[in-house]
Amino acid sequence: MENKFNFETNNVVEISDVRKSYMGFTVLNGITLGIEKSTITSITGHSGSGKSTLLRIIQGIEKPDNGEVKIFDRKIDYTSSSKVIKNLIKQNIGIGFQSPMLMGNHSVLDNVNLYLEGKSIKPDNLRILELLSRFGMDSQKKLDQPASSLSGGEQMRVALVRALASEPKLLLLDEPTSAIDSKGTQNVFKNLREIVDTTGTTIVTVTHDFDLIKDYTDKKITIESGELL
Amino acid sequence: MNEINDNSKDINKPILNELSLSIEAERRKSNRERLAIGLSMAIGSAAIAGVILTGDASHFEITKSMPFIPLAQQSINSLDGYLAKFGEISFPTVLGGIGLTKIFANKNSKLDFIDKISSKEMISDSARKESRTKKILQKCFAGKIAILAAIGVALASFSVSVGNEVSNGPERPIVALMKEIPGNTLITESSQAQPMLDGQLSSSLINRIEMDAKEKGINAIPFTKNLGEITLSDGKTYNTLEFGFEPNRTSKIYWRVSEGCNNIPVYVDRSARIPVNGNINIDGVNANVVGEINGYSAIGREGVEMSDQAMKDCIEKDINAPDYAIVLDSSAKEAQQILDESNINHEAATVITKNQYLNNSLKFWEGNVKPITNTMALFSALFAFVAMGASMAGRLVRNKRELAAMSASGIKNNVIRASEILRAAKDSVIATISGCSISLLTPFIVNSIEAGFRAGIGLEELAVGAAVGTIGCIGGVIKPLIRIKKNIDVSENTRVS
Repeated sequence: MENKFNFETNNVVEISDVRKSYMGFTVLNGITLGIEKSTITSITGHSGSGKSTLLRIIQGIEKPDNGEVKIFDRKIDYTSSSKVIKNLIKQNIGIGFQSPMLMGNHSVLDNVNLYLEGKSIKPDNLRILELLSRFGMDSQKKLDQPASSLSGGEQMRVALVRALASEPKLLLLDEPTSAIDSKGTQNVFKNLREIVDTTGTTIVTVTHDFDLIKDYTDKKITIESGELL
Repeated sequence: MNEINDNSKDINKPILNELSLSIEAERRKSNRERLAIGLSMAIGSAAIAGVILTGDASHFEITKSMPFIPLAQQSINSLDGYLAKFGEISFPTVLGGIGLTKIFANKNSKLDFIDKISSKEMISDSARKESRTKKILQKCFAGKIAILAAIGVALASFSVSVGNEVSNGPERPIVALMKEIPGNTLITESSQAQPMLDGQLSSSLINRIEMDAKEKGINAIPFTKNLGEITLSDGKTYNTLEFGFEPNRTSKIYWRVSEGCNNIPVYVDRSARIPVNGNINIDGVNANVVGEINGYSAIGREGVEMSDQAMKDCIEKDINAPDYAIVLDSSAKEAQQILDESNINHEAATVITKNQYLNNSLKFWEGNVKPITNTMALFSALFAFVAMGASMAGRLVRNKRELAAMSASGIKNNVIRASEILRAAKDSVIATISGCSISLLTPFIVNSIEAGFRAGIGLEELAVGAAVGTIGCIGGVIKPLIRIKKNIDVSENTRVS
């Protein structure tokens, strides 16, 4: 079990004593927590509290200075050219960044489909259209538009669909509604809740506006000055 | 306001004073340095202007005598051949590779990704609405024309074209002349004889050779050579390469000698653009243009035809004057026998073939000019290589956030590399097509500004252009792609700036 992922485990993410510093400044100071399967967990905190850094460590983008991260019961080895993480991410983890990072010249559909194809996953058109529809991006005109012509909120929704398109078992989102108004934010999380309830996926999201989404989340983690409150 | 006043209590004024003094000192230092640099530039500017205005710089030249390296010359002389061979293989291979990718992309998700990603820029600051041309370019290639690479391709193709003309062009009038004189064997002063070298055989030796040949039933035609000048009625002059000989009566250049030699009939190569019936002066002799010939000119030298008899009558050739060479319609062995029998005074004379004579000319020009034009082709390749490398590096910087997001999301770096290599391959094809199309126009320009110049773009020149396009575009992207992890720092580039 040491070298394999256990997708049946209830502890999707286990973090033990994770520490991270940048240029002598401590960002995370011994974080230990667990994320349960089929839940939405919200990580909140002030700007600079370390919540995005924690998420990026789980995403495999940042390497912790100390501590251990297990995903699906598998310890992540950040030193092995991240191949293990990449293979895991490829099929099972959806990632949402703090900004949409879409390919501005490519259409909405291409932005979703090409990410799947780059990972050798054949796009399921019906599923992608359903997802786009869920998040208000279903008009034919919008689908063919270059992503750069969309508003910031629309781009964030496309990025969200891109992360969901591969049917991930774990979805790691960094402020997915930062460019979306309060009503739209609630709508996004209502849909994410439905997806969790129907598919059993697990979502970890960093947010500033916990009050807006509290009805849809299962757990709130607050970080202050690199430590859990 | 109260809050601000409260905060002001915490400010450490001595530290701020110290900081302020430090900033002021730094500013003064920076100003002093700027003043010194400005003064240096002003003095330098005045000095350069003074040197130019006083004329002291008119003989200024940087040159350096370097030891000749034969191996370097051989290598550079072979360059166009190697590039042409490479281009003949690379262009169809790259085009076929792109075609195959497109064919199999319909069945393979990864190939679909690679083809689509490489078909257009990820982000762009240009107008959002895409033109029809751009859409076609996206369907076929990378959505735009790699201008710098296309210029590199055109320059390389053009350089080789000029190199080939400069090397082979001087042969053109010789080949034309040799076709007019029956026989394949020449007796010349030296085995290294060629049009750019003077040589002579005495009239007595020529006479004995002619007599001996006649006894053996062999046709022998002596000819003279002169580097002369044509003067037009408007005073314009052309250099000429003149050969005089008695041609076969069935030759198209045979004509009757005109009386008094006041108006010798001549045929002039059409590149001189002298109209028929135009009056010209050749080396002090008036002449009338009675027709055009084609393919008898070389760079800066116009071909003019007249008979040996006309030369004797009109240019007053001394019958005791030496000739340049004599052509025998015999085998080399027979010619050697005739020479051995005739050369009783042991003059410097040898038997060579027409091909040897032409090869001597070719070697001379290849040795003198081709290294330079091939070096130009090499620089064109380097230009395309550096330009495309810089373009690729610039594209990576421009797209680093999007590429980092892909990498972080699980798309393998090798897949990203493959898409960028395919993009470069597409760039190379469109740059080759564009550059070669430009180069096809260059002969029209250069041939019209240099009399007798007949540069041409053929398969070899186009293949060299294609090689430069491939090496420049694909070679240029290799370095940034090898160091893709350094260029695209996933941790750094996925943060919100």
